[in-house]
Amino acid sequence: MKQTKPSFTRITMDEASRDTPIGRRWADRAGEEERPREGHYRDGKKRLHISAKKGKALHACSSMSAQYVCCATRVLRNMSNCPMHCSYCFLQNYLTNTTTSVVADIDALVEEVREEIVRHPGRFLRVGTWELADSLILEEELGNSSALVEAFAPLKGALLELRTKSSVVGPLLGLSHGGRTVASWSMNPPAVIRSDEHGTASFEERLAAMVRVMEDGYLLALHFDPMIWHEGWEQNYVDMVHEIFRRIDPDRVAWISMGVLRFNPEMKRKMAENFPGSRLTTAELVTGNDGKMRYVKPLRRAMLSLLYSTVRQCAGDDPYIYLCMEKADMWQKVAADAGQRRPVPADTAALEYEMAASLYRRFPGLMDAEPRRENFTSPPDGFNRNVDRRPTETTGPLP
Amino acid sequence: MANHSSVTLLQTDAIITTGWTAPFQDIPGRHEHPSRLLRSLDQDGILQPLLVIAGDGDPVLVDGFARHAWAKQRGEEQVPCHILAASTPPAALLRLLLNAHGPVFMATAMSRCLFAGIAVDSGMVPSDEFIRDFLPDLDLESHPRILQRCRNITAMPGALRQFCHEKKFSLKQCYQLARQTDDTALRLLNPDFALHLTAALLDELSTGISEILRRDHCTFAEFLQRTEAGKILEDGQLSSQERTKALRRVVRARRFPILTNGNRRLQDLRRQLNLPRQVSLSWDPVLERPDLELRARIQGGDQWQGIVSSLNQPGAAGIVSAMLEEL
Repeated sequence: MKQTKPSFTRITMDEASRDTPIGRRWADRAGEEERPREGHYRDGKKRLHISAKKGKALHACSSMSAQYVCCATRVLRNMSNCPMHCSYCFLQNYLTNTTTSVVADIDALVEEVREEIVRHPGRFLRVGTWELADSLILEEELGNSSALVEAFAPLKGALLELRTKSSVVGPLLGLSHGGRTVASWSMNPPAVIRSDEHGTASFEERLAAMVRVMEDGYLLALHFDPMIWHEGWEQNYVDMVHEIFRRIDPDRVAWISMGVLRFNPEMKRKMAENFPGSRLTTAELVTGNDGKMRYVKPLRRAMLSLLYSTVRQCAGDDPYIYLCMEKADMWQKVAADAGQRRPVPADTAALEYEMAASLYRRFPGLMDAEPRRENFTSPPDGFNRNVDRRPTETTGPLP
Repeated sequence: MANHSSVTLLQTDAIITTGWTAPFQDIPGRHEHPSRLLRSLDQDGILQPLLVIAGDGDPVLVDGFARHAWAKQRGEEQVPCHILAASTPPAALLRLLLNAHGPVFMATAMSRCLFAGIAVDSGMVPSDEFIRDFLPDLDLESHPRILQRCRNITAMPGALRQFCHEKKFSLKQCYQLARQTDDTALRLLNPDFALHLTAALLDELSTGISEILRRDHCTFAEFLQRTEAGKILEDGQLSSQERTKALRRVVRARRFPILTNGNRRLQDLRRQLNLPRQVSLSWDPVLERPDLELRARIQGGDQWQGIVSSLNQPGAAGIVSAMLEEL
């Protein structure tokens, strides 16, 4: 399947959004002001609502359970829903109103980020726009990410992360990004993209897009997440990593995350209903402390360890690697399997500090001063305070 | 307001028995004691008139299907009927049926769901009206989601509905089965298999097998051929409980090979420790927790020494390390 070409059959707009760049772009086609309420997430992909900023937009991307080590990324909810059709996408079960929506008031969004920077002096914020949407697939239609790129350029205490499975990077090229935007890709081997990431850019298209933005001076990030078990996964993931680092300079990669497929139990039925051909839900899954189903631990360990070792082999020790939604013992095991002893960050703030320190060391000029550990003493609002290492019950298929 | 009607004798053959209320006959429990009804009819005839509604043509039967069938079989030319006006609202007929057969329609979650599903699927009563006026009377939450669940449950195969009714499954349990994407649950009800199934077991087995079929691209028959499951289901020596337990073991091992093998390796290692009976060494069977749990029951000082010695035996630390590595 080719990358989805977004097309909206109904467009609506808040009155307050009409006098914004996005509002002006769509003024001729936008009808009523109310955001139409769509139920099924596929219906919502065909509707677009351009809205004013309502309430808080900056949130914590935090695990439901303190037992999982968290990367302390802030998410800016400026969009929701996505025209692509990944079979594992949590949006199919998450959004109550599925109408694709975008916040047009960029100034208000950036102001909230500024306030957050002021509230946390000496820290360095990583702000992603990818929690409820793909950051770039609608960029040619909306232009909101480009506006954010330029708005973040002068912000000293933050970095914008645009995460995508698309190849839409044209609008970003030539912007004054000031080196403060990380363009990141969720990557999977071509076999997984074909089977479960419908309507997204192919592996080759994503890689080509990555090269284009890298050559335009952007920092990159890679998210090997969700890793999907499939026939031949070992070789496919190894080949994927080799191919990426054959084309991408690891020195331009700000960070790398790794995580395996996980979803809440209700999603399992949704996925089976919405994607009857997918075999994702037939894998060996257990329910973790955060209530999410994920592969059984020996399989997760095998997958993460292989990927971690391969990335270290291809990209060296520099790009900061973190595991998404895994417990401390998995961090230790994965590093140990690669022949490394890696202390697990004591808490979310410690991990935030480690990432800031890594960025400072590797990308001179990104920060005014070296991050100091004492400025990262407590997790930001919305994040779990500590990594809870107590054993607790899990549920699964065996008595 | 009310449609008062007196009793009228109508031609038995002229009454239409395929009206929109006919499917309510299929709700399990409607005819649980047919011999009692037949004996009564044989002895006393039709004492309670049938209920029909006037239409453009012949009258349509609303209630009294068993009595009508008895009359036809006996060759009775006429049956006593109450005739409702054609203008009687469908919702009024529904209320009437619910009042007349409340104990049957309210007997189980399945029968309540079927009443709702049949009523709404007939198209005679709008969904929003049914949600507002009828779901509370059926002891169901007045919400569109609940009505949709009732409709999904109504669409289940008849044998599965009957099973859920007989086992008195809850609404949630019925809905779990209704959401299954293939007919594995129905196949497991095959009387030849004689499985001992609770709602949870049926859900576990059918979900497990169904996922194996999807993962391995095979049919139910192929699954039985390729695994021990076929032999287990044909083994006449096993009791119903034993057969179900054995099938459960096979399905789990096929569905969760990594966990099954991991637990087996841990059990082998524990066996090598040769621990005294008073000492137990356990772990999280889904292998999520990274620790082992050691417990000892001690009743005397000599036991304590024995336990300490057994834990200090040569090689024990290595075996425990190997176990922790598995976790």
